[in-house]
Amino acid sequence: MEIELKNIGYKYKNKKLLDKIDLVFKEAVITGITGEYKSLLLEIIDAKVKPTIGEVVIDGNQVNNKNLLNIRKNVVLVTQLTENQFSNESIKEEMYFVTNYINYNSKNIEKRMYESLKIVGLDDNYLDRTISSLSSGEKKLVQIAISLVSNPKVIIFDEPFEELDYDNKKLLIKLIKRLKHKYHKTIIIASNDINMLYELTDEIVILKNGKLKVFLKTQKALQDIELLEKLNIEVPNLVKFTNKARAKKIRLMQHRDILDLIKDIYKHV
Amino acid sequence: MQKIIKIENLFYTYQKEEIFNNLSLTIDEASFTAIVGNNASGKTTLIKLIAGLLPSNNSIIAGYAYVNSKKMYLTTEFYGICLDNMIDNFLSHDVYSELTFPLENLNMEKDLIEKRILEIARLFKNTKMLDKKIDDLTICEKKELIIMIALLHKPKVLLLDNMLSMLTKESKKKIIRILKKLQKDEKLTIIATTTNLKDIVESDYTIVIHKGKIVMEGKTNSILNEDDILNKVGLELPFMENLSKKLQFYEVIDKVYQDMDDLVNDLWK
Repeated sequence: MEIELKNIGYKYKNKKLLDKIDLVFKEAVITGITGEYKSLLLEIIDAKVKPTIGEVVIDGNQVNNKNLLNIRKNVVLVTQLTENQFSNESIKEEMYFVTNYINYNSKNIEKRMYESLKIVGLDDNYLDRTISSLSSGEKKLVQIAISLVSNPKVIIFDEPFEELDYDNKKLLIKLIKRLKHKYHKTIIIASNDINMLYELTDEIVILKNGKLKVFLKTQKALQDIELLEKLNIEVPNLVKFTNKARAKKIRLMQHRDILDLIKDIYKHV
Repeated sequence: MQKIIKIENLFYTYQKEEIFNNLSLTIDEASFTAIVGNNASGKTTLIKLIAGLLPSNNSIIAGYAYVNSKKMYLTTEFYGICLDNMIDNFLSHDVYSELTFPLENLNMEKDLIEKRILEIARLFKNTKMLDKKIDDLTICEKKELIIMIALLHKPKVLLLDNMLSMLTKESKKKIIRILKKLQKDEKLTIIATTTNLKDIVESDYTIVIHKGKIVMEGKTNSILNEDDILNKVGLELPFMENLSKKLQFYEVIDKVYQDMDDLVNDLWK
């Protein structure tokens, strides 16, 4: 499912927070968003906030009040975990609560619940677990599983890796890749973590002063040091290292995975 | 160096689950100590116990007094406490009254309160923020505000629970610079918990905890060398440590580099 933003602008107290944003998010592509007012843009895509001007077109249909419920089923926003993220005691109740809210009916809804738990890598007996018994890593996975029950086509993550430890982070990276390759979902990730965006995303969006500055292939944008310096964005560590080696006339390739880089270094020493 | 916090034989159970079993540790005066551990390792519980928010049966000494959860007034002025969930729990509508409230509680005179608030706002270069409403602040600004409030009454010890995550690059640099200045000028002791090893690089001393036990402690630089143990307890090494450890494994280099230029210069002379 494709999402198109046409000339989106958002004004708050006479200040233009977002201005003239044109973007396309394609199917089976991971798009990263970094810069200012990321979360606001995500809420506009998710139709939680109405833009001052411009329109959001999802799968050829312009978003309006009539097709809002349909959009809720197909587009989900996985927010940052907060203290009062969940409103019910058990995971099953929470899943029923959310599907009720978006008016999602299916004959075998329980089967969908098991399936979505399976996608995130949790087994069946989690369905009856209470939320308070989960660790924060498990909470994140459960939060994603809950969003997946209605089988959405577009999944939006807001800073998904903050506060996760190393093991859970690796799990989540694998999960996001699987959602892209196996289930062909449209995935949008907003984050400040440039290193993670460099490794994981296909396309990258950089926002600055409310304007869209960059919308390019990740490799192209994040290897362009002049551009990043102009926008005051950190250079990914892998790129920084390769450039320093190249300055010494060592012909290293640009790599997105640290193990590939090490193999390449090994060839050159 | 003088010890400012002493924990001796601490036992703590929560809902029949043993969290700390005979934990002992000491913290030096005017040090910057980081407590690292993965999700559900007991970091937050430890901070709450040190702060006296949970009962600790006279096994924690702060300065010259026992920490007692029933007589918290003995240690309130000693500590500045920043907990993760404070971000959702502000009392007032605007920043200025949020800052006056704790000082009014200490029975301070009105003009002194004004002076102190301006002082702290100038220190954080946040004088513009004073007129803002709490709702208009970004997550970053809210975190800065929580730290400002904690520092208002000039505490001896500042407790930061997960405060260094979810900050922008600039904001994190600024906070660390201010904290280090206070550490030097006013002998402030800082204790910060985190899941991310990137955040501890600035600290002097590091304590690694896993499942309620101290796995190791020592100078931060030497801790970062122990990658086997860090990986085993589920922590991610910062980029330079990770790269040098992997290159060491292939016998390309023979020590851990923290500076990228040094590594590149030594690899290709």
